[in-house]
Amino acid sequence: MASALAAGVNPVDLARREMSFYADLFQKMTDSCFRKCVTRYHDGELQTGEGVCVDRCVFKYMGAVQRIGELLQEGQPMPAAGGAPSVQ
Amino acid sequence: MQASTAGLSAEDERRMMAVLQELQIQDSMRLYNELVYLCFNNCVDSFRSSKLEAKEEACVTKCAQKFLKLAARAGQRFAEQQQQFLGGGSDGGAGGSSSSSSSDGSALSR
Repeated sequence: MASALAAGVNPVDLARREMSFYADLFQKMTDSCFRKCVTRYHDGELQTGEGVCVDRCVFKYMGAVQRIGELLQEGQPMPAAGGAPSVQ
Repeated sequence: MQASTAGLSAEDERRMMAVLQELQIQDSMRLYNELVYLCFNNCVDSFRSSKLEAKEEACVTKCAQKFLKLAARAGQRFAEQQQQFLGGGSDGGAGGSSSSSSSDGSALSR
């Protein structure tokens, strides 16, 4: 974060980047969890089991975000590190 | 792609580099999300726990490593293909274009 500011990055740009990163993440996460947890369409209610599945799915997804973030930071410098505070 | 800075004023060149850098940052963030989405879908199927199981974590890690290697390799092949395409008639020429198109590949592998 500090290095990004030192490099003259506009804080508005930084916020915009971060917002679009999390919007993309959320859209992909809901897509994944819907596909994995909802298998039947009997009615418009979320079934108990489906709800529990979604709860766990969200945490697991964020676990994968964390793991891959670590992986990317080991191997290759990510200029986006400042915009992805979920990684440590 | 053909980021030739020849014939640009210093101010235009500075602005272009800023735009390129911004695009590269956006691209790396999109890649990050894409990687998670792809590998999560491929590796995680059970939701009995809310933590990644060791097996799932190993799968996600290998999946991401594999994807990055694939992207790097595809980038190289893409650069070669572009070089052939652009340098079409004259074999020796187009030195400038080769260096800029190979940077596409490295951007993905980074």
